[in-house]
Amino acid sequence: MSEHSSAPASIPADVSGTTGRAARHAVTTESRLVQGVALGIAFVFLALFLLLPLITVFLEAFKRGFDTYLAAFSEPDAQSAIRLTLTVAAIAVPLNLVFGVAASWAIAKFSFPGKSFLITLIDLPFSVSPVVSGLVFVLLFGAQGYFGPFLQAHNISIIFALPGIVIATVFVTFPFVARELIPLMQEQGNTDEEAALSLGASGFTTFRTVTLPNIRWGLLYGVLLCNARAMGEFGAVAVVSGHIRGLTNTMPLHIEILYNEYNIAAAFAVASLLALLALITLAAKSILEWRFADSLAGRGGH
Amino acid sequence: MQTPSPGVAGTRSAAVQAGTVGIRVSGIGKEFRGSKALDGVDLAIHPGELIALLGPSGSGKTTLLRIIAGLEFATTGSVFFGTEDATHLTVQQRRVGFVFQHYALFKHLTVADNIAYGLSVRPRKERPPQAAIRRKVQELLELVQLDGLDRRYPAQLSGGQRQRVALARALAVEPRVLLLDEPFGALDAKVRKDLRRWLRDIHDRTGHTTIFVTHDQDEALELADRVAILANGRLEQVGTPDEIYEKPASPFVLSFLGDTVALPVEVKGGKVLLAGDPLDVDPEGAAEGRATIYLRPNEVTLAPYGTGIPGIIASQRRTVNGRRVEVRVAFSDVLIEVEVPAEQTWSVNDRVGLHLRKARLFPAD
Repeated sequence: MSEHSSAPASIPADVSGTTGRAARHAVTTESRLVQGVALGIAFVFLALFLLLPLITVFLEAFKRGFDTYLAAFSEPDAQSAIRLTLTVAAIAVPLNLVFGVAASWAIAKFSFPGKSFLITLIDLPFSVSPVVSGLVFVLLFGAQGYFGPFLQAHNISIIFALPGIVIATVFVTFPFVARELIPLMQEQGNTDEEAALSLGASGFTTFRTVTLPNIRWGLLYGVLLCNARAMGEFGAVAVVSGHIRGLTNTMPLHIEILYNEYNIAAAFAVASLLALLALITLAAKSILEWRFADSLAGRGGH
Repeated sequence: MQTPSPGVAGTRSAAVQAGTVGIRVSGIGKEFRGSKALDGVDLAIHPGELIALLGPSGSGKTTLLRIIAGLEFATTGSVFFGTEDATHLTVQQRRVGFVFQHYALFKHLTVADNIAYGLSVRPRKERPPQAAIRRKVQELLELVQLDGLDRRYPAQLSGGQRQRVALARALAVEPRVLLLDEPFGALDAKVRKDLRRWLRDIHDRTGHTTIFVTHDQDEALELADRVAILANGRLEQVGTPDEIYEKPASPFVLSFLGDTVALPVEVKGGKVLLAGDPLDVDPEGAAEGRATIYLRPNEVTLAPYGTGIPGIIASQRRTVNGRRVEVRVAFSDVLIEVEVPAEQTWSVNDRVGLHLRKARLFPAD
């Protein structure tokens, strides 16, 4: 408080006293009561809307015992749904990894006309209802769609088959990787790449040895989120899949069918597997955030 | 401006082996979306010379450096490395060592791997064997006085150390010229001074043609063989530190190199008049009419009243090195700031005589 002792004498004593008292607490600190209320609201809300449902999933799944739980997975339809979900994720996630890296690279490192339009476009899957996304593809590739006759003539099935599910999943999960990388790459700028180029590295070598390592943790983070959504996507996939049991049912669709048939235990058993995948993803994400907070800095929130 | 001798050697390969070449740019112009960042810049740099590109921000100095490096391409004009036309060469083909203001070290690589980067990304045929690379890295670590830190990561180094790694990394590829973009700009004052001396030392030992960009006048004068001053995309003056300080080519150069006082005068009948009274200043053939005399505060002395230009002390302030006294020229509104030793004390309204030890006359604009 040395400023106060050296303050001009014309400042009344009580004024400097007031600032002295206020300065003892940081100005942003609220009273304990306000803190407590805010924390309380947050915790109650989280417990009610997030934690409780999660616990319910696992409780319901094991309600009829462990054998019933396992039986739900031994059913051929369930196994085929799990296989399909993993297949779809295995195709959609790498595709979006490539698309996402390419898009964010183009956006972050170059300036070109239509850049802000492209950024807006990348966000489209976030803002459009998944059902609409699915319908768009039915309209394009379905029997009555624009490319329908052509596809039928060449005996290619997209809607009500694996390609349609993959396309819908790719569409819905597209923003995750790109959204993660664009702010990161924008923050990092071009200087590291310029340094590599000036040292004689080719464009591709620079990308491989400098750009990729710089974004690796952000990329992994984006891929995790993308994967979680790819496995869990319901709306868009429901529209294009056709719900053919054992063929085009993914895990979320399978769960819905089981539930509609009042096979609650089996529905929750499969649901618990999806929830477990989500938990693993969350854990991996938290570890990444905790371990590599610096390299993830600059990412925008979701 | 002297013309440089041609590159060290006549042929390209020999010049590369000899290590370094002179640089010549001619008629360089650069437009960014219609605005001119550079406009007709001609500059010749001798082989082995250490030259500073000095100018305020927005003067185009960094753009010029990046054009020489091949990180940007000029709208008009050419770049020569020695006798070779490098205008259309890519940054990789130019073989320059570039040091960035914020180091641009590769965060995921150790100090040793950073320095080795340029050698290890070479195509297999041109790549030196691992042992040779390691030897080279060790040599460079010693040169930049960082031996023992080879296994650290950039995040574990201080700013000064990082910039030294960046310089070692640039030197590893045996560049033909060394280009530094505000190399000390991100460092604090003490480290800056140390690194200045150190860079001069390295330059004298390795003998690379070196261009560095700075906005710090002290740095440019202290470090460079010659200084090129840029303003608004044009080259204002090129010369040794003494030349640009003692014989500034324009009021801009003069005022950019330190505090100045401008005295409005009139040239009439071969005499220089200040507030109607003749001054003891040679007009050196300046055109008749209004003109301005530029002075530095340390180029004016105060003497007892009755000699020199009569003046009245208007104010005085203590500074670290002495006193700054403001003197009003008698019978006018002109104020001159004068630097005097601390022992000299004056009171406001004292009458004094002003002696101009040096006066530079420029036509009024």
